[in-house]
Amino acid sequence: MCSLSTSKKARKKLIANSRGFSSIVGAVFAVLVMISLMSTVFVWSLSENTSYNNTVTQTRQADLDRSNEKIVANVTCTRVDNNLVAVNGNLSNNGPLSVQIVTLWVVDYDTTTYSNKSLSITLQPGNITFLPSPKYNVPLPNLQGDIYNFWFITARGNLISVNPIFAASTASTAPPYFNANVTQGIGSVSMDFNKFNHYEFSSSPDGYDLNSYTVTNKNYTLTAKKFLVLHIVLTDLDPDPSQPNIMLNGLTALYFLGATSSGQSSSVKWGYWKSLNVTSDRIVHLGWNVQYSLIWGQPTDIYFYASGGQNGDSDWPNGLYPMNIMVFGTKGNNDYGQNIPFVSVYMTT
Amino acid sequence: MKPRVQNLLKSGRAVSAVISNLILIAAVIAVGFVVVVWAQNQSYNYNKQYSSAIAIDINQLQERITLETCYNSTPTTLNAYLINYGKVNVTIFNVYLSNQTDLIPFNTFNLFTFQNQPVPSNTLNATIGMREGYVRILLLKQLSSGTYSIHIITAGGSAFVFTFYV
Repeated sequence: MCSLSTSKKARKKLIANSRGFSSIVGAVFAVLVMISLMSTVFVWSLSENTSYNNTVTQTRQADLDRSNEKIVANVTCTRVDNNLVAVNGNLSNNGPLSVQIVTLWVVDYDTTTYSNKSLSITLQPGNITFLPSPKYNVPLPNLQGDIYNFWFITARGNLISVNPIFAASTASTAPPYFNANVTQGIGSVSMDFNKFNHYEFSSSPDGYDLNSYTVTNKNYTLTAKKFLVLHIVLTDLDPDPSQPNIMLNGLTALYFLGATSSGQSSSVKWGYWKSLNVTSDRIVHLGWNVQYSLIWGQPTDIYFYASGGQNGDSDWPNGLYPMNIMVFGTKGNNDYGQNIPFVSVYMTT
Repeated sequence: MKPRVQNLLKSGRAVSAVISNLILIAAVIAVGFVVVVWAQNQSYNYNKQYSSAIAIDINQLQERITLETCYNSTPTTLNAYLINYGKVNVTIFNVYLSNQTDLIPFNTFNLFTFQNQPVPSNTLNATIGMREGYVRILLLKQLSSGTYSIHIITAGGSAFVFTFYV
C-alpha cells in the first residue's frame, strides 16, 4: 500500500516535471529524420535495382531471341558479267520469331573482293521469301570461273550462311542466263551426272540396306543379268523459284532406246523401270509408284528398279546404250513432263 | 492578477534559466539542421553515384555489336564491318589487333559508314538504318596469312573480341 502510493507520487512528479521532455521530443524527431532518410535511400536503391534487373532480363531475352533465329538460305550466287553477280533462291524462316534481314555480303574468293547490299526483308515465322533476279544482283568485280561465297546479316546480329546443299552451286561459274536458257529450253529438272550410280544384286534387293553396299567406280557400267537399282539426283532449277514444286508421280520411266556395240548389230531394246521407295535410311522397299517432291533448288535422290525384277532381256549385247530418263508429274495444278536424254551406259553380260 | 504579473515581470530571478534554455534549444536546432542537411547531402551524393553506376552498368549490358566481315581493302588497310544490334549507341573507344600470341601495332583506326562517310565520335548508332559501319585500321605492314582477333573496346567499358582469317 505504501509502495503503491510512492509509485503514484513518482509518476505524478515525472509528469509534472517538464525537464527531459524536450530530449524525448528531440530523440523522436531524430529517429523520424533518420527513418525518412534511410527509407528514401532504400526506395531509391530498390528502384535502381529494379531497373537494372529489368535490363538484365530484357538483355537475356534479346540474346535468347538472337539464338532462336533460324533462317535457311536456299540460295545460289552466280555470275552475270564482269561487274555483277546474281543472288537467287529463297529464304525460309524456320524459327519462332520474325526476322529482319538487313545486309547481304558477297565475296569473290579468287580476287578477295567483297561487296554488300542493304536489304529490308522481314520474314514472319514459317514464311518463305523468294529472291528473284535481278533484284538481288550485287555489284562485284569478278572473272569467269571465280568462286563466290555469301551470307546474310539479320537485325539481331546473326550471320546466316548459305545452306550447305547449295555450296556447290555457290561455287558454280555458270552464269544465270545459262541456267535460264537450259531450263527454258529442255526443262526445269536437271540431273547431276556425277552422282549417277547403280547397285547390282544377285537376288531381289527387297529390304536391303544400301549403306552396306560396296560402292565401285563403275557407275555407268551395268550388268545385264543382275537385279539393278539405279540412283539419280534431280534438281528443279526453274528460272522462277516462286513456281510450285514438281511432284513426280510413281510412273517415272526409264528406257533403253537402242543398242550399238562393236561387232553387234544395232537393235532396239527397252526396259521399263519404276521409281522405288527407298527410305531416308536407304533401305530398299519394293513398293513402287512412289511420289517424289522436287523442291526448288534442292537435289533429290530418286531410285529406280526394273519392273520385271531383272532388267529385262539377258541377251543384251555388250555395248553402249543411250538411256532416257522420263519424268512425269505435276507442277501446281498443271501436268509436267520432261525427258532427260543425255545418259549413256555400258552394258556387260 | 495584475499585481502578480507585474511582480513576476519585475522579478528577474528565473530569466537566466529561460534564456539558457532558449539558447540551448537554438543550438540544438541549429546543430540538428546542420546534421540533417549533411545527411541529406550525403544520401543525395550516394544516390547520385549509385544511379550513375547503375546507369553505366545498364548501358554496358545493352551494348551489342558483332562483326559482319573483316578483310584487307589494301595490303595495309584492314576493314572490320560491324553492326550495332543492341538498344544503345556504342562508341568505339579503342581497337586492338592481335594474332594468337601478340598484339599487332597499327597506325590509326576510324569509323566509317557503309557509304564511306566518317562517323563523328566513332559512335555506332542504335537507330535502325544507321546501325552498320566499319572500322578502318591503317596497318604498319601487311598481315601475313593466319588467324587474327580484333578487340573492340567501347566507351561504356565493354570489350568485344572477334576472330577472322586473312
